[in-house]
Amino acid sequence: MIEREERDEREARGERNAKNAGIDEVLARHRVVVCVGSGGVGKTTIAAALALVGALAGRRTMVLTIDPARRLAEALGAGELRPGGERIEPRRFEQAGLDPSATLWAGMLDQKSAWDEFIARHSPNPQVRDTILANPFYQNVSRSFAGSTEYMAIEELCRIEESGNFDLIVLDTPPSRHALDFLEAPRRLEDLFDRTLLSWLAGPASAGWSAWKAASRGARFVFERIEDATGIQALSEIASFFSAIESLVDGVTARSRKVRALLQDPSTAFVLVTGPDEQVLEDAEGLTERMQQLGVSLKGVVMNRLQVADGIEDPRRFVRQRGASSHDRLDDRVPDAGDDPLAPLMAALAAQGVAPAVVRWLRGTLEARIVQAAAQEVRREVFEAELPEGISLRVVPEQSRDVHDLAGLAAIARELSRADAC
Amino acid sequence: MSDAGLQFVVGKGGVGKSTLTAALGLEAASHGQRTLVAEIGRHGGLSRLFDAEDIVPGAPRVVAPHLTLLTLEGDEALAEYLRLVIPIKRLLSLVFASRFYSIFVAGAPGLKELMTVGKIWFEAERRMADGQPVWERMFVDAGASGHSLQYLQMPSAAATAFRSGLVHREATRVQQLLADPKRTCVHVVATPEEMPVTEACSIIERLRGDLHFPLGDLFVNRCRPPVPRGAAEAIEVLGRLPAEGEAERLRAAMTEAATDALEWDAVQQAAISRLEECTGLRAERVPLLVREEFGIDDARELVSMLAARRKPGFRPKLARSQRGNP
Repeated sequence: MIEREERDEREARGERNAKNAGIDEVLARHRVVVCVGSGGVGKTTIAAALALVGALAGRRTMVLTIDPARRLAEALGAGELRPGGERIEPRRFEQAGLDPSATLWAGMLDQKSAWDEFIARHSPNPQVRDTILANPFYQNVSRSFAGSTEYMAIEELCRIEESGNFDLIVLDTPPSRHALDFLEAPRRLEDLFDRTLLSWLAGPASAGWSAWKAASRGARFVFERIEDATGIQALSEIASFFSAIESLVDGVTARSRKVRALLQDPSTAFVLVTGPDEQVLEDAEGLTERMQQLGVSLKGVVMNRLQVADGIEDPRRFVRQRGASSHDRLDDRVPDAGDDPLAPLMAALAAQGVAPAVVRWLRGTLEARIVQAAAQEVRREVFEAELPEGISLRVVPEQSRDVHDLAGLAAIARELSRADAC
Repeated sequence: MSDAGLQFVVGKGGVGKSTLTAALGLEAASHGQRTLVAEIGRHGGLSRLFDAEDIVPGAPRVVAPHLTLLTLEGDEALAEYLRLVIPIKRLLSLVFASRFYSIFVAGAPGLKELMTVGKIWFEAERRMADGQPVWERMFVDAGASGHSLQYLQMPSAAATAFRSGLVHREATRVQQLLADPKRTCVHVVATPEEMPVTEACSIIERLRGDLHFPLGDLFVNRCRPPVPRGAAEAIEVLGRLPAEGEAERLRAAMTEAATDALEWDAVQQAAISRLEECTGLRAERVPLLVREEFGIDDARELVSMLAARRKPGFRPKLARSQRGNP
């Protein structure tokens, strides 16, 4: 691409992002940035790119991911990420043409070992720890308790934050159906560790259990059915698990308060990562309301992988090769042969001996891009209009290749901080 | 195309599981088969596609001829299960109101997932008065949570965790259905990109390994059209064409679009070869649909593609069972 075109393109993008020059500021003003969003929007990549922006701005940065698929490791081009994190080697910054003095660490949370560490940390003594770790119910819990990954992520975030080793920590969160599910995790864990409930449940022989059982014949009947339904053995395992974790309650509760405090701290910012498709609009609905309920604040939105068709003013004029139902909206005006802006280009290509199939393909790539870009632009506008004041929106155009290395991340980092470049 | 009555669709979030599930369901229904499409969790992609966002979990809704939609929720599935175990209404409301219930639900992880899979099993086993299955085909969108396998692994986990009692027995029965290649299969969906492929590979490894699930098809969704021979040369020709004004802008835009398409083609080919190599399966390519609004039309457009995959001589089961259709 020649230089002038690139500059034009940059200017066009700068204009698009001009009123939202805030993501850099969000990064600069906060110590913790939590990326939330539904699955498949590129959250892991954006989290890594945000961290890279921070690191390149001279801040000691850690990006923390929870994904068991080790996607961040791939995006960063590192082999394996360890739970404690590892510094991206300066050599790799150099290879990507970046400042090698940037300090960027990447860590991955291993859900199972995080739980074990969590239990070990909060157990009053090794006996309690071993009892819990050996409990079959615990082993099942730590694998499958919904929300446990989320909680462990925040817990780990807290630990790293307390270490004071980093100026900026970017947290990638597990994929969830809804962008904000993640934030409910501390409350769910607190429910599990509620002292009154725990003492009530600790052992089928416990006062609560037998009292309830003895209260009425009806209750006894219910219990018998439930015990039969679930298996007595399992219930006693659950009971012994809960009686074992009772001694952890104080530690966990104190911890949970800190975790909540960190999420609500003014130095913590939430960034929603979203895509250009319809889920975007769904995500926008009730977003602020729920965040307010949870007492946390959304500071920025990154709309990832938007198609752009720069230099195209009236998309309707271009779309000719249409499927029966492909472009319903654009279809309401079918251009006649005389009104085909691409005709001269097509004719010129044919005159140069380019095969008709290739000419059609060339045209198809441009039309596909124009249709997608036009549709996504409409969705972006609607989304932006619904965003409350003070939340910055940053658009990251679709990359022409899969992002899987530091150089690819750097390209996205440049998009994220483009306000500086303009 | 699998003849299994119960077919799951799994894959990384955002790869188009819902659209594909809907397409599979519409295709089966177009042959007159009594078809159920189900999704786990409310407000998912399927109910959005069928414009049924107000659907109540556990309450089936007819969304197209021969096609019924069902959404499943852990809380609802568990409540329904307890209604079966405890048939006395007054006692039941006592249970639901009690702290025991909230602890039982919060404190028994995996139980809701188990009940959700149990409900799927229940629907798969349901018979009409004449012994015909209520659903000839079931397609389950196993959730956008990125934890599709969480549901599928639950029966075997539960059978291990609960070593006796009803849950153990039911979990074992559900597990038997899920592991039976004549009755169940699990389709895996990816897109031709690095990370969805990695996820698909690890899902398939687990399905073959500790989970022992019969594999269905491997779909690669959103495949871009093939690049014709001579494309790279044509882009060079395009660059040499004299142009100015609007023509120049169009030429630049077309060059960029075509160059990107070439690069994506390389990414796509590499991703598909890696996927086929690591799984040993042939990837079924599903085309990228370019349109302004995504919706049920996407799924409908895929139906004919899926129909073409039916084995020659395939006869829908309905031909035999139509008389029993209520």
